[in-house]
Amino acid sequence: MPLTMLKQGQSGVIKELHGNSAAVRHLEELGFVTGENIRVISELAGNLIIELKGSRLALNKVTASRIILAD
Amino acid sequence: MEIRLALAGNPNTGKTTLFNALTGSTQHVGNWPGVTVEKKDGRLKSDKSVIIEDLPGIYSLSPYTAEEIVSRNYIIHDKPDAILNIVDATNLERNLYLSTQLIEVGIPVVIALNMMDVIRKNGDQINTKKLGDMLGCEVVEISALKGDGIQDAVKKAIAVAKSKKEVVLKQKFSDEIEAVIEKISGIITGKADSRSLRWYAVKLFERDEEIQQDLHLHSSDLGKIENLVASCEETADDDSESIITGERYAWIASVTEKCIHKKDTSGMTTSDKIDRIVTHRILALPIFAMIMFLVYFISISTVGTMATDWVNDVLFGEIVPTYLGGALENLGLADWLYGLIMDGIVGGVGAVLGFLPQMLVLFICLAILEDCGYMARIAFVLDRIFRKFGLSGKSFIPMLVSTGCGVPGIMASRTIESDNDRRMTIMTTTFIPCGAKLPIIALIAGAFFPDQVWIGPSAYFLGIVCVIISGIILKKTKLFAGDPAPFVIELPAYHLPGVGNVLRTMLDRGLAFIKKATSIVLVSTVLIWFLQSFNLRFEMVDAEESMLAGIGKSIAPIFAPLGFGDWKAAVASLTGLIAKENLVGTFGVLYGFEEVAEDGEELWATLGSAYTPVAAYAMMAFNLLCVPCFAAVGALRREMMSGKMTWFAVGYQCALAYIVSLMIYQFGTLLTTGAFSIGTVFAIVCLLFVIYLLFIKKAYSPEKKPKLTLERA
Repeated sequence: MPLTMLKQGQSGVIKELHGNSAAVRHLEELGFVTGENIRVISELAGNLIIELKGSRLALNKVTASRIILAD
Repeated sequence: MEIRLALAGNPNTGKTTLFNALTGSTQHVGNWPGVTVEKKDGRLKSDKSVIIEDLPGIYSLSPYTAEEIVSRNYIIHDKPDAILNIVDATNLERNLYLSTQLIEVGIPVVIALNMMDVIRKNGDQINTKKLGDMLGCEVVEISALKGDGIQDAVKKAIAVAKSKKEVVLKQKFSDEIEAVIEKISGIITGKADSRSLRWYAVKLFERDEEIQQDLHLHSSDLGKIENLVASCEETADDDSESIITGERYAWIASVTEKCIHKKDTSGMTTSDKIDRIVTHRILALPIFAMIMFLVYFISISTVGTMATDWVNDVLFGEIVPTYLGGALENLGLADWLYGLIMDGIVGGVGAVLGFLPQMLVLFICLAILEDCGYMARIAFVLDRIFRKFGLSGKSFIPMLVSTGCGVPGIMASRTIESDNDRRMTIMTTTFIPCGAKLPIIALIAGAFFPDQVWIGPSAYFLGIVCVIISGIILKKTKLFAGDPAPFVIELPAYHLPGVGNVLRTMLDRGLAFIKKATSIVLVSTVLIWFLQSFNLRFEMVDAEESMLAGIGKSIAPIFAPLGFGDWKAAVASLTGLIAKENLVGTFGVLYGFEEVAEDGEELWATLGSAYTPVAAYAMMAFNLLCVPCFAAVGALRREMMSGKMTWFAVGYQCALAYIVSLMIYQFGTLLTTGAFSIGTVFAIVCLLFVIYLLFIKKAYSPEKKPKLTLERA
C-alpha cells in the first residue's frame, strides 16, 4: 500500500519506490530505502510530515503515493 | 604553501556558520536547506595560507539539483587538499551517507560533528572515537554556533592535508558487488585519478553519465562495464543505483547502532508540536497570512514609519537644509554648485536614505523568519496551493528571499529540482517587492494614503496574485508544460533566532542598501539633476525646458493610459531600471527638498498634489511589477542560461506590469469618479483577455503517448 494510506501517528516499512529514475534516486539518497521505517507525524490534505531516520521530512501527496509500504 | 580546505556536508548543517567563524566573514546563514547555492572562499583568520571553501549543501555526490553540481564538481575536479565534512549529529544516518562517499573519493576527510550540544541535551550519547575508527577518518566534536572545537577541527584537517596519507573507507559492499567494483577498477586503472579509483568504479557501476563522459572511456571498456553491471542487477533483481544506496544505508545503520545510544524517540518533540499547529489543515494559511501581514505592517505602517518620518521630515526636511544650506550659502558657492549639492545630492540620496529605518525593521523581521526554521514549513504549506497554479511550494522560498533582494532570490531558485518550475520561479519571483522597492511603496503610501495601513501589505499581495496568475497562464504554454517535480524537503528543528545572527543579517543588508544609495543612486541623482538643470546648449534652465523634460516627454505618452503620463514620472520609472530606489531619488530631485526651505512644503505634499491616488497606486504597481533592476536581470540571465528566455521573461514582466497598471488606473478611476473613456474600453479588453487565458484557454499538451501501465504493489 502507498504511504498516503497511513494515518497520523502510524508507521510502516518501505517496500519500494515508483516514479521516474531521477526522482526515485533522490528519494533513495534521502534515506527512502527498502526496509526503512517511516512514521507519519502530521498530515495536511494528503501532504505529509514524516519521520525517517530520526529526522523530519515534508512531502506532498504525489510523492507520498509513490512510496510503497510493505503490507 | 597554500592549503585548500573544502567545507562539505548536507544542507542546513551549519557549514556557513562554521565558515564565518573560521574566516571572520559574514556570509548569510539561515535555518532552512539551501541558503548557500554558490561556493564561496575565504582565508582562515589564524593562518592566511589556508583557503577555506564553503560549498552548497548536498545529500550525495550524485547531483540532482543545480547547486549539488557545484559542490560535486569542486570536489572531483578541483581536488581540495582536505575536506572538512560537517555532520549534523542529530541527523547522523542521512549525513553519513554523504560522508562515506566523500571518504571514498580519496581526499583526506575530517568529520566535524556539529550540534553535539543538542545531542547531550537530549540525553543521547555518541561514541566519536568508535565512529572514527569504523569510518576510517578522524571525528571532532564541534559547536559551530558557539565556536567550540572548531580550531581543533581545522588543525586536524590541515594535518591530514599535509600528511597526504592514503585514505581508505572501511565500508565494504557485499562480496558480489565488491568483486564487480574490483573488476571495474581494473578496467579504468590509469584512466582515472588513482586516489579516487574506487569512487569512480562505484560511479560507473551506478551508470553515472557524467563520469562516463569525463573519463573518455573506450566504447569496448564501457561495454565490458555494462555487462558486469547488468549481470549483477539480474542476480540482485534491482537496479545498480538502488543496490549501492541500499547497501550504503544498511552499512551506516550498522555503524550508528554501535556508536549511538539514543533515548526513545517515538514521542513528539517540541518542533512536532509547533508543526501540528503551523501546518494545521485549517490554521496553516491564516497563520501564514497573519505573519506576513505583521511583517509588513510593522515595517511599513508602524515602527518603520515613525523612524522614517523623523528622518524625512526632521533630518532631511529641516536639519540638513537649514545647516548644510546655511553653511553652503556662507561659503558663497556658485549657484549651480549649490543646486547640485542641495537639489541633486541631498534631495535625491536623502529621499532614498530616508527609508533606511523601514528597511532595517523589515530586514530584522525577515532575518527572524529565516533563522527560526519557519521557511521550510511555508514551502510545505504553500505547496498544496502553489501546485494548483503549476508552481512548487519550494518556489516560495526564493520569493521570500526576494522581499530582501531579488538577486539572491533568483539564485535561491536553484534548489528547485524541475527545470520548468525553476524557470517559472525565476521569471515571477521579482514580482514580490524587494527591499529597494520598499521606498517606492512607502513613498506612495505616505504621500497618497497617509492613514491607510493596507497599502503596504497590499503591494505584497498584489505581487503574490501576479505570481499565481502568471503560474496559471505560463503553465498552459508549450514552454512550461509538464508536471511539477516531487516535493520533498527536510524540516529543520525550530530554534530561537540568534540575536547575533539576526542583527548581522540586518546590518549586512542595511549596509548594502547604504552602499547602493551612496554609489549608484548618488551618480544617478547627480545625472538627473544635471539633465533637469540644463538644456541641450548647456544653459541652466527651468526643469520644464531641460534635456530631461525632453527625454521624459518623448516617452511619457506610453504611460498616459496608466494615469502618470507626465515627464517626471516617466523619467523616474526609467531611472528605476538602474536601481529601484532611484525612482524615489529622482522624485526627490524633481520635486526637490529645496522647496521645503522655500515654502515649507515637503516632498510628500508636493507629490501628493501632482497625481490622483489611483494614478499613484497604478504607478506603484507598474514599477513593482515591470522589469526589475539591471542587477536582477543579470542574475536572471545567468540562472536562465539562455538569452532567448531572458528576453521572454523581460517582455512578459513589462507586458504584465502594463496591463495590471492599466486596469488599476482605469477601473479605479471609473469607480472613484465615474469617468468612462477610451482607456476604460482598453482596460475591459485586457481584463477579458486575462480571463480568457486564465479560465478558457486550453493547456498545451504534448501528443499523448500510450500510458505506461504501472506495476501494482
